[in-house]
Amino acid sequence: MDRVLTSSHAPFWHDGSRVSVRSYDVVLAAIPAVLMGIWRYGVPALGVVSLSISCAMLWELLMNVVMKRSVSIGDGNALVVGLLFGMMLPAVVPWWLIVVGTFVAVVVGKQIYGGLGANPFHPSLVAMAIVMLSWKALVDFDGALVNYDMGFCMVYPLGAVKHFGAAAAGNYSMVDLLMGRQSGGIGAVFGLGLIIGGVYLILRATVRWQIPVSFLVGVMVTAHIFHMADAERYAGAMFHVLTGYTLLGAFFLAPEDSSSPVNGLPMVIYGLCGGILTVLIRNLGLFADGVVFAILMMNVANPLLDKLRPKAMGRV
Amino acid sequence: MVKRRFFNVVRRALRYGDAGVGLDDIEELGLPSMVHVPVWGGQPGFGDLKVGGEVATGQLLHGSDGGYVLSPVTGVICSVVERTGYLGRRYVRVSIEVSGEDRFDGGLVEAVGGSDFDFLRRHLVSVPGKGDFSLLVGFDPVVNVVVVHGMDEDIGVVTRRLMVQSDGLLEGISYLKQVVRAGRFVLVVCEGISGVSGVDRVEVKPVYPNGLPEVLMRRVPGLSGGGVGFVGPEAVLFFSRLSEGVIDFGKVVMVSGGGMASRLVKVRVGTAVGDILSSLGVVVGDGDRVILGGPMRGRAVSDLEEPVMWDTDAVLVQSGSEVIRAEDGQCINCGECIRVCPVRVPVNMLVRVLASGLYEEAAERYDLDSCIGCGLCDYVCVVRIPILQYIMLGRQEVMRLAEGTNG
Repeated sequence: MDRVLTSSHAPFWHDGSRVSVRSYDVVLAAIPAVLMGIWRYGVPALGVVSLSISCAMLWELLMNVVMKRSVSIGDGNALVVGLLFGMMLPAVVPWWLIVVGTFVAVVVGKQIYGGLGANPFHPSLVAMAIVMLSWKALVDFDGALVNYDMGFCMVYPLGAVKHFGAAAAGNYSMVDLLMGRQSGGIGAVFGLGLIIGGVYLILRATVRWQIPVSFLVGVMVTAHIFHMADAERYAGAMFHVLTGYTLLGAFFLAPEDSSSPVNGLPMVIYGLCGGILTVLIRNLGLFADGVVFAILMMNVANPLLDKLRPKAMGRV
Repeated sequence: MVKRRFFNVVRRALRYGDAGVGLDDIEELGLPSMVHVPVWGGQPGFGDLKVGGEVATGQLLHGSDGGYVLSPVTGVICSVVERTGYLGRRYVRVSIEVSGEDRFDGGLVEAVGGSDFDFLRRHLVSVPGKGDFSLLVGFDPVVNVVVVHGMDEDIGVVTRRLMVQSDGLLEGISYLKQVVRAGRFVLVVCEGISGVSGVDRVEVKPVYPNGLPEVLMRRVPGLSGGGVGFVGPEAVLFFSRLSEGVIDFGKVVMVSGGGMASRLVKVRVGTAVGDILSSLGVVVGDGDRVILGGPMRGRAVSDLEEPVMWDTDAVLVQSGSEVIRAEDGQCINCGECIRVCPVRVPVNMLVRVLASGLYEEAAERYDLDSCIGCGLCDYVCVVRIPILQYIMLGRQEVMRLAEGTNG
C-alpha cells in the first residue's frame, strides 16, 4: 500500500456550520443591547457582565477537568450562558451573587445533565430563578438601582403597573422603552437593540423564527385580553412587550436549542404558551416579571411537546 | 462543496448542478492491464474462483454458494482474495489480468445473434448502468414497471443526465422490453432535458434528493405500488448496442476534484480507480479522499485498487485539506436535521438512541427504517455527528438482531 487515504462514511460534504459559530452569533446579536446597558449604567454594568462571563467560563473549565471530559469552552456556550445571565441582572449586584449564579447556571443547569445539548432548561434561566427566589431583594431593580438618576422614570415599569395599576404605564413612552430609557436588567432594557439582534439571529437561522414570533404573539394577545377586560388594572400589549425580559426571552432565552422543541407545531405551542404564561404571572402572580418562570415551565413541557411530530414517510 | 449561506432563514436548495461537460467530451480510456470484480458469496478456490483460470469477456464466473459475476474482460485470473466490504459484507475479489483484445463468451454471442432472451435473462447478472440486473428479470418480486432513471442520484454528478440524451435510447427500451417482460417503462429525466420522446416520461426538478429511487417511488404516480425496477440509461444503451450485435462492457464515469475540471471517461467495468486517476494525471497524496460515487452517497475507498463497478457513475477526489472530519460531540437539538429531512425522520431523537446503542428502540419508535440515506442531516449537522453512519450501523445491527431471533 503506497498511500494512506482518508476513509470515512458518506456524506463527504458538510455545510461548514459549527457550534461555536452559533454561540458567537448569539453574542454578536446581544452586543447592541449590552453596549446600551453599559453606556447607561456605566462601569458597574461592565463589571457585572464581565464577571458573569468569566465566571461562567471558569465553572465550565472546572467541570471539564473534574468530570474528565474534553475542554468545551471553545464551543462558546459558557460564554453565552454567562452573558445572558449578566444581561438579566441589575447593574449593581454583589460579586458573590454572580459567582453563585453562574455556578448554578453552568454546573447545576447544564454540566450535571451531561453538558451542552443535554440540559433540560436554559442554564441562565435556572440561575436567574434561583437568584430571584433566594435573594429577592438583591435583584429587585428598584432597590438595586436606587442610587441611579438618569433623567427618566427610574421605577421598574413592571413593578409600577403591578402596584399602581395601568395608569403607571403612562409614565413611560413607547420610544423611551424602545431606546432603553427604562430601569431593568443590563441587557434587557434596550428594546430596539434586542429586536435588531433577534431579527439578525432569525435571518441567520440560528434561532427558529417560530418560537420568538409565537412567544411575542402570546404575550400581546394575552396582555390585550387583560387590558380589554380591565383597562384600569392591566397595561396594554405593547407595554408588556417592551418591558421586563420579554424581548430578551423571546429572542435569546426561549429559543435555546436544547430546551426548546424543533418540530413546527410544537415550536408554535411552546412559544404561545410561554407568552401566555408570562402575562398570566405578571398580571395575576406574585412576581413582577413572569418571563423567567414561564420559559422554565415551557422547558419542562418541551420533550412532551416534541412528540407532536409528523409521521415519517413510508411509515404505516 | 456547497457551504451554508450567511443568511440562511430561507434554505438554499441543493441543485444537481452542471459540470461543464457534454456527451462529446467522453474520452475512451483503453483496456486496463488488470480488472477487479467482486463476487458476493463464494469462497476463494471454489467454483470458478481459482487462480490461473482463463476467462472470456462476458463469461459467467460462479462462486460456491450462488454468487456469480460476469467477467468484463478476457484474461487470466491472477488473484482471488476474500475481503470485507461495506457494512461488513464478505466478498471475494477476483482480479483478472487482461490478456488482450476481447474474446467473447460463446453462449452469449450465440444468444445475442439468435435473440435467445431466456439465456440473456439467466446470463446477464450485471450490465453497465445496473449492478444487479438479475433483480429485474426474476419472479420474486415480479417487476411490472421499469424506470429508466435518467437523473443522477448525487449532487454534481452528470453521467446519467448526459447518457439519457444519447442516441439509441428508444431502440434500447424496445429490446429491453423483450428481455425484462415488464409491461410499463417510465423515463425519469430532469426538467428541461429535451430530445427524448416516444416513451412515458416524467420530469423531476433537479434538486437533491429528488433523484433517489426512494423519493421517486413516492412522488411519481404509479410507482408507489411496488414491483418497480430501476435501470440507468447506460443499461438501456447496452441493450441497444446488443440488438446490433455489439457487447460493450464500458462504463462512463465522471471524474472530478483533484484540482482539475470535471472529465468524462469511458472505462471497462472493473478498472481500478487508481488506474483511471493516473491516466488522467491526477495525483493522489496521503490524507486525500477518493470517493466512488458522489459527495452525498458515495463510498470512500481505502485502497486505489477498488474498481469502478457496473453502476459507478462518478469518481470524486478530495484533497486532505478539503476533508471536513466528523466529530464526537453530542446532539444539541438545534433541529437543522429535522427541517432538512425529506422523509420527516426525527433525526435528533434517532441519533441519540443510536449513539446509546438502542437499535431496536430506534427502529420501533424513531423511524430508523424510513431513512432513505440521502445524507442531508449529516451534511447540515452543526455538531458534525456522523449521523448517516450511525443510521447505517443501526440498520445493520437491527438486521443482525432479527436474524438472531429467527434462527
